[in-house]
Amino acid sequence: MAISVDTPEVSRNLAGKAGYTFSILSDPGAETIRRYHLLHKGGGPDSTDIARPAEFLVDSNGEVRWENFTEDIRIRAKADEMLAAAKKLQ
Amino acid sequence: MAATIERQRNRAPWIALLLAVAAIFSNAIFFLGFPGQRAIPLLSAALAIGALVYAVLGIMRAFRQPQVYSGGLSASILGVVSLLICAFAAFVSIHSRDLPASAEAPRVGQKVPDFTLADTNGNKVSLEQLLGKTIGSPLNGSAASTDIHPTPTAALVPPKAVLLVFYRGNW
Repeated sequence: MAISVDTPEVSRNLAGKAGYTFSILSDPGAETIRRYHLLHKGGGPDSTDIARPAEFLVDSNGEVRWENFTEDIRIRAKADEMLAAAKKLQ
Repeated sequence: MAATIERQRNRAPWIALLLAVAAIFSNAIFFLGFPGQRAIPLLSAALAIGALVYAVLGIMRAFRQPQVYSGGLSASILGVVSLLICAFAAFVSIHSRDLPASAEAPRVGQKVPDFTLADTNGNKVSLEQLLGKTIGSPLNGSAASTDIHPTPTAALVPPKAVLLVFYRGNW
């Protein structure tokens, strides 16, 4: 699940262009992002509020089993890191 | 000999400019999705430092050894341009790290808040649904299925986990 402040339309375009098959959820009001304490105030275009990059692996109890908070937007969790975290749960 | 009297070309300012431009473009490696992205900030900083070293070297050569190197004016101009580009690279670097600490965000072992958000088709999807707590909830993102008698397919086995990726948006 990918989550951003983008509208479903923007996310649909992104998924179409990039060929993403995973679900992209929209949080235009950033309520969920705020509840997760991930709001980057004024971090977006024209100083809009966006999400800071963060990744969570949540188990069936809703508990975080792995997480990643980057300190530099140029460095993100790689797919293999996330896969390795997921495999550890099995 | 005429060749020994002829002044050498001062290449250092041009190397400085090249390195400064490379310092900016090294940030674009991010978009290529190469492995080793952790090296990007370091690479950019190293290129910028290299650019400044060559810019200073070029200006020093031009003014301290004018009999050997030509191009005092061009060395100065290129030096200033390189410096400005490096300043921009530094700005990008600082800006890239300007993220909220999110100290209160959920940590390993903690429960995450539930949410209900629209997917790309405008269908409402909740985390609870995704985690398979709702009987018969599909797990492939098309959570708005209204089929009240879902066929027991493999897709309806609750997942062991859900990966939530918060990102900055597409802009």
